[in-house]
Amino acid sequence: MRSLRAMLRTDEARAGLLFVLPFFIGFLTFNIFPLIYAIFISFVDYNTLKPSFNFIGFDNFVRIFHDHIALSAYVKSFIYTLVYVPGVIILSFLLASLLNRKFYFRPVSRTMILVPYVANVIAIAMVWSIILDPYDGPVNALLNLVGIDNPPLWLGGVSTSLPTIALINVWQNIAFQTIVFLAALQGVPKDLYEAAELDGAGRWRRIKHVTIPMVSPTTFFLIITSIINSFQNYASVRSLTNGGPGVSSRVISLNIYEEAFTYNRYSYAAAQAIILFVIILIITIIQWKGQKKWVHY
Amino acid sequence: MNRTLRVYVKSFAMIIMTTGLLLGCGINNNSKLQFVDSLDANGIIEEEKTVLKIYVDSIRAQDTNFLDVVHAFERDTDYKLEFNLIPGDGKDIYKKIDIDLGSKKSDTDIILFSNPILLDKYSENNMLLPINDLIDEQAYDVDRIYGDYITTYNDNIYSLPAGAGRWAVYYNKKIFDDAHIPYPSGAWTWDDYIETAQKLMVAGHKFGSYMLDYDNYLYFIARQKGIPLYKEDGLSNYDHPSFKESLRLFAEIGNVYQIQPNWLEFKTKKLPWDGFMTGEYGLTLIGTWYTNMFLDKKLYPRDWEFGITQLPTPSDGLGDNNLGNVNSIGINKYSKHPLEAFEFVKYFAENNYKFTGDLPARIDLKEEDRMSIFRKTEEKLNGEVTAQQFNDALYNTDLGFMKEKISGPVALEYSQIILEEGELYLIGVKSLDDAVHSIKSRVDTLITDKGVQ
Repeated sequence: MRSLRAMLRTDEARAGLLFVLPFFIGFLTFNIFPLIYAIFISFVDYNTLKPSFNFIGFDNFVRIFHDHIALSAYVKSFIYTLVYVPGVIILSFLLASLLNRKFYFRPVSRTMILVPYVANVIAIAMVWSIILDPYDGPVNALLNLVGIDNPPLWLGGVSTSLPTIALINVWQNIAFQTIVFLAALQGVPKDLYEAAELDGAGRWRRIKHVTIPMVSPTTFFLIITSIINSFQNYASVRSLTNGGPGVSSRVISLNIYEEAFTYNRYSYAAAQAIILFVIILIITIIQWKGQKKWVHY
Repeated sequence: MNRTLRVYVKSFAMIIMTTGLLLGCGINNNSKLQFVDSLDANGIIEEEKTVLKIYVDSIRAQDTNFLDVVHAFERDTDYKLEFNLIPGDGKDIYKKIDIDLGSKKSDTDIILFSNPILLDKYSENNMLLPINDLIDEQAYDVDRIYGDYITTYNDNIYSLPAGAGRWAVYYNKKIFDDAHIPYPSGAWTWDDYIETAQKLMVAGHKFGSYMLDYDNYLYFIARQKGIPLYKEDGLSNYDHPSFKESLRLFAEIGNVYQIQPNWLEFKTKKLPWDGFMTGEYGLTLIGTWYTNMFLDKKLYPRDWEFGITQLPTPSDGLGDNNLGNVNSIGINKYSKHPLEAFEFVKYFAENNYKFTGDLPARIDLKEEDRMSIFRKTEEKLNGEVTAQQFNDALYNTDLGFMKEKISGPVALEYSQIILEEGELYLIGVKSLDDAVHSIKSRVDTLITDKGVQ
């Protein structure tokens, strides 16, 4: 392996270094250093109002396992992920498949699906609050019309608030996944479909044996990023229910925020964040190991 | 371009990029006592002024009433006040102030506390300067001026009270006139309040009343009866029957009597805190800070007049208190010029009410002093409500005064837990007993844990 000095001998190498240096400094400053700092403060008793750095070992981590609200927040995040990730992956794949066909207004349709993705999260919260208003909202009015006497309370129900937030996020974020899937679908060679058709494969078998395996690297990438994003979801929960009713939609990101910025327990919040980081890391590693069975490069 | 020149160009580019990247990370730690020279119209230096800094949110920074206090202070003293403008408003700004204060490098001297929960947090964590010595040195008679409005922590005084808002019932005269119902006045009970709202609804209004989602609505009667939120052993007193009674009443107002949007409707519709100003509701029960909204006809244009009357009391006759929120002002523990900051703290605490419409937290004022404030408000309202009516609703009653907010250990968490567990009862997920039990046990656990720590 060549030494760094040898690598920097050419002008191109030095120029390359010059151009990556701002990113590298930014990455160290805004990603690596905060991560190390978070790990550090999770082992002390740091509170912004009583700044001290007394080493307390694993106390903050042990405390999490006695904190019912924090534990339930981790579970809520899992539930959210279980609704959000399959929802966004399956629907975006179906939508991309539709948009990959030829039909009138296809360019307009492809543009329109981007609208929710670029919309402001507060505006989205307001609009969905009106649509899902259990008293006068159009959705429940429609359900009443078709004979459903007790329609869901949506964002106001203890058991429905979290799935409802997840589905609203599916609606908002589906555009990104759809565009990535669309690009992948357009990269599937047409002769594969022709060969499958000659072999007598119907539409469903072509999707199952040609399309899905061919876009599996894209699916894998989207699943990993969706899971990570779903565990980090904060803004939409905050604006739609703020964790309520009670703590029924209080996901772990919101809990971490409250611990740090409302109650000033920075070290305790950092410990919760580190556990979240480890959970996401483990899930990602499992997926990475498991991809060999279903991802075809 | 020769090799040397290329090296210089690359080095220069590297320095520029790196500097540019890091420039935004800098902080201004200028905590030195600053002096500014004011220029008069002829460009001649008038005087040297000491600069004090105060945290303000964007709304307060543009509040002409607040600016009037500041200008009056600057005019009357040798000090100049500079704003440390904090983005956001309400409680949110304190999250940023926490971080600034926690750095121990903040050069901001003065902090305003909109409620006692915030004061508790900063005082208990020793983030504020105890002003006992300054008070003693200047023989400043706080007992004579502020009486019980002064809050102490372990015998230390960390702030002076700057206002003591009270609760009142505001009503929409047009809705009462349309329903041919006389305006409420004088002493009345919660039963009377409910009955009045029901009459308005019979006359064709969807809701007769409007209340918000604040924690104190959930323990209103208990506070009116003077029931403390903590037991003598320091644990939560939420298992006292009066708290259960309070929670039940608030639930019944929305769910049973249906005189106002119930909790679920309020939350799912995201009804606004200033919803009464829409003119759709007959009555609202709120603090006197609400008066400012009636003064602002630009933001709240209306074709109806309002009235004000005193707070209803528990129907069993066992509670005869009004509630109130004491806001206050203190000094950063790390202030470089506490003596000068104390001058503004005193000035603001004594004079704030004259400018902002806040009710004074002073016991040394005579009725005539209070009437002079109300007369100013009457003038601004073009006589819509008279000074006498304000005085009758807020002071000229048989009601005592209780602090509305929780003040004590884990106050912030206590307030939040009441909202979280109370909400589950209000929307029908938990029984009243379960909700009360959950509130008490969760708060007790926190208090015990804090004691252990």
